[in-house]
Amino acid sequence: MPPKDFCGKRPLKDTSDHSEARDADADLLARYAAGDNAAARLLSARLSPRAFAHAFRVLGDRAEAEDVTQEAMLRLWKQAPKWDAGRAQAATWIYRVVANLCFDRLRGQRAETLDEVDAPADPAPGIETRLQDSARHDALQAALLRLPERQRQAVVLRHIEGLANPDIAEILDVGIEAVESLTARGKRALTADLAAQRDALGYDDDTT
Amino acid sequence: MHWGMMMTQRDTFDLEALFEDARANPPQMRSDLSARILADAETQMPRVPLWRRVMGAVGGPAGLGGLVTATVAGFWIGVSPPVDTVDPLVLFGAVESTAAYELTDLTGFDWATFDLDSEEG
Repeated sequence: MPPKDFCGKRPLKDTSDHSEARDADADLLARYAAGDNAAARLLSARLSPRAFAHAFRVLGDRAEAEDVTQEAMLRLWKQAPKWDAGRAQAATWIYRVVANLCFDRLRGQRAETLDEVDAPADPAPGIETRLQDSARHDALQAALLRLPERQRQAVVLRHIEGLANPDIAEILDVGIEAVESLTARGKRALTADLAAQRDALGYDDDTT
Repeated sequence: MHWGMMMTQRDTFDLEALFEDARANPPQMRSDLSARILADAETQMPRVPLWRRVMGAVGGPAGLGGLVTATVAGFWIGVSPPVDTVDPLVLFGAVESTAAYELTDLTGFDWATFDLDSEEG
């Protein structure tokens, strides 16, 4: 049940939620490191759906998002015995790993596409087409995939995952001002893109 | 003016409604992904030595210290009971009293010495 307005300021609630979640996750990680299987199940249930949702929205491909989620969780399992309870919230940590893995994949895909351009004999579909084919065919998802990577990640984290700017700054390894700028530019680009699509394809914006 | 209104409408899009829809319908993970993640968790789980698990169960070094103290104290009370100790067997009515000479053999209870049959009859 996400709050309606994510731009609203909820500093107090955020702080207490954060420390509670951090303690709970740190406790679960310690239990996992001590050999508790139930703790692994709880951690996976808490963190992996969020990791998957973000990866799916950013990559636009289910199989890729699944691989990224599994890899991020694998790194969490490996990190568990060395987990510093005071340092990071596990959810933020996982988002950060997922964001970096997504960047790596997108860069890899770009390189692949360039190779395909070099070899014109192979009429492989462009990256955009492949992403759109496997993504959910909704207008927002398609428009998200047309955004530059950083704007895409920032917009998804802010407006779909509902994270606060300081968390997003930590996840994307940038300053808070940069997050604000990325989300603002991303939203402007999305609005223009979706409005243009609506006009070009002639579908009505039935959400208003 | 009409044209201006149309331009405004074309340039805007109710993005927030789409975000809301996306939040309400997050992409769902398939169950085999959860299974893969938990299989990894099991493989990566640190092997905890038995003595560390036992230590954990008794509450760490402090708990272990308590256990040692209790064991030593219990053993000592067994070897050299205080003179006015109330014998539990007396409380149960199994024997009338346990004099010191009856307890010389601490290593094995010889129930025959208590002669339970004659007590009941």
